[in-house]
Amino acid sequence: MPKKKGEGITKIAVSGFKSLAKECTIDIRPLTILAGANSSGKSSIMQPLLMLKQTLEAPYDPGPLLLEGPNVQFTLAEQFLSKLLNEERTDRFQIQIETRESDFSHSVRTTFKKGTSGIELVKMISKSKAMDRPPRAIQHVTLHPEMSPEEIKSLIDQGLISADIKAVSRSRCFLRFEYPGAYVYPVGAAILHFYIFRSIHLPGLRGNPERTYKPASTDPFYPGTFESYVASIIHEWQETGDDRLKTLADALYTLGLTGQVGTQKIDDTRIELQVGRLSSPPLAGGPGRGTDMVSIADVGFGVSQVLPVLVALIIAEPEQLVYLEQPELHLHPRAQVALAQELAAAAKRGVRVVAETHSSLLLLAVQTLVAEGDLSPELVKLHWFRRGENGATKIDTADLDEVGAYGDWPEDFDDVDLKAQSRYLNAVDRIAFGKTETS
Amino acid sequence: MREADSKRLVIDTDVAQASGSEGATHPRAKHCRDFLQEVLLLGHSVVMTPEISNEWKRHRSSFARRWRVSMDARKKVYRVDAPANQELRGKIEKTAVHKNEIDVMQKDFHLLEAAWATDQTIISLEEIIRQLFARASQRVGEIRDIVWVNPERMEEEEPLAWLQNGAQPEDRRKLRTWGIV
Repeated sequence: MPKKKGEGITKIAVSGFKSLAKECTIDIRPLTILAGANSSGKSSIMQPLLMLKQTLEAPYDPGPLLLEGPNVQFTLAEQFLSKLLNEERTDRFQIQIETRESDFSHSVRTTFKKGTSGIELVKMISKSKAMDRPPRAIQHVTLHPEMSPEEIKSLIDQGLISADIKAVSRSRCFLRFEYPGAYVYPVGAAILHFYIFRSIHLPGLRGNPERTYKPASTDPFYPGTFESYVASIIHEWQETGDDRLKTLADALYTLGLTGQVGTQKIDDTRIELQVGRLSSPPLAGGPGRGTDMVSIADVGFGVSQVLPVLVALIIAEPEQLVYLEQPELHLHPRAQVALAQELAAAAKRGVRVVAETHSSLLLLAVQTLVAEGDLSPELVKLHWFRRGENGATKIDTADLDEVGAYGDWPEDFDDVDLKAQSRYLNAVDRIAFGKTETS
Repeated sequence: MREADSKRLVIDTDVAQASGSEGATHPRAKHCRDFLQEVLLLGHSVVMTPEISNEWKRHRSSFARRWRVSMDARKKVYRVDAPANQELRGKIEKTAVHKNEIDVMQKDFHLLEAAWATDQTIISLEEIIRQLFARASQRVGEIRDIVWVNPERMEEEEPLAWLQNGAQPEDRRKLRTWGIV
């Protein structure tokens, strides 16, 4: 039987975090759409994962959880521990992440608690199973940082861990086994560690375009937020004749933004990002690429804001998680529709794209790609976030069918669109026909 | 609304057309928009036969186009092939008093056939055709129980309240009752 490919991160569950007081879960498919009103919890479901990312990527050991980093910024545990209306603030939160690689499924549930000296890691449950029929558990351990020799012996006696293990210790946001002279993560935590390291995060606030950018690493690991790497990646594509530069230029052209993109190395510490001044590609037989190029700082925000999105989608490899906050930022409606094609292209390659969006046009364009047969509905998952009366987030989840329909969903932005149209037309009618109100 | 309370409604293109600002008259347009929004909100379905679907594509109301997209996204478009029933059409045509009545009725035979294949409910602004079909229903039993609601007649027919109550086939809304009137 051919070996199954990995899938990367496949599920995230969070509880005790901001409005996600009770456990909320989202499945991650190659194209996962997070939609809902402002402050409904869309970002909150991803922030614990981002905290793990910035904790693992910090150049020093920041303790069990780095609260203020490049991906998310908190200064107090009270800023994210849940407090519902008429309820006490919780003192802990949990994050569970499931991953799939080859024929194995892993799940790591970590509990963090506000202690006297800051955030503490109090428990980690790591489960791994082989996806046989029926699934076969290969490891299921519950660990905490101060396990006694008796507790460890009990796990050894149950055959859950190796007899050589002497202790359990914390390594940043995970727990690991201590061997004489070595340490090993539980299988699930080791896999998750890898996928978090490989994840790409592009925040909603992507900064102003700059005259020059600092060179950065272009390997498959992108610590922090992704926009810092974009100029260097494009520069490398240009210098090595990588076909992906053309893919990028084509995508920008499809979006109606520009027909050319490239870089100019100013010196060893600065790279200028350049784009074509016109939204058309170079003419055949004309002066060619590199002519009529201007700094990205001299064109509209749409280009500079969507460029990191497109580069992330193109460079990401299968299984890699790409979390995009508001990918449609500053884009004209026509470009929002075209952007769906780029999201779908990455999803079809097996990238796990998580897009948090307020764009009904983007969602409609995804539905259309499914209905046109250009995107399998099995690759898409929709999660709609809303707040209940007590302030807790509720998530409604939907799959698309073969015509791109998602079925029953709570009131959504297309309802808002319809009501806004109706209100406008009613107002126009009142002016045109007088003030007679008949209902 | 429970699934059992939602109905498959044959909505005539004239309702979609009137819901926009293009060529619509006040307050008809508002009533049509309110009606369509209520259908969406309550979870009723709209029936689309190939013929009705083609008519919907031809009209130019952006509001109705957006409404139909929303209905489709919610899986509330019930597609059915309701081919022309020549025997039924023949029976109805025989009830015409004048030749021009046949021409008028022929325009909307497909609504009857779509309703007949689903929940026997038509939403239309066409009063003349309703009267002709109602008269025909006295002699053509197959269409007697078809419900016909005009969303513009807010006071007489209370269409929104009717939708909210599950679009039930109340006797007073059936063609046979209109025939008596």
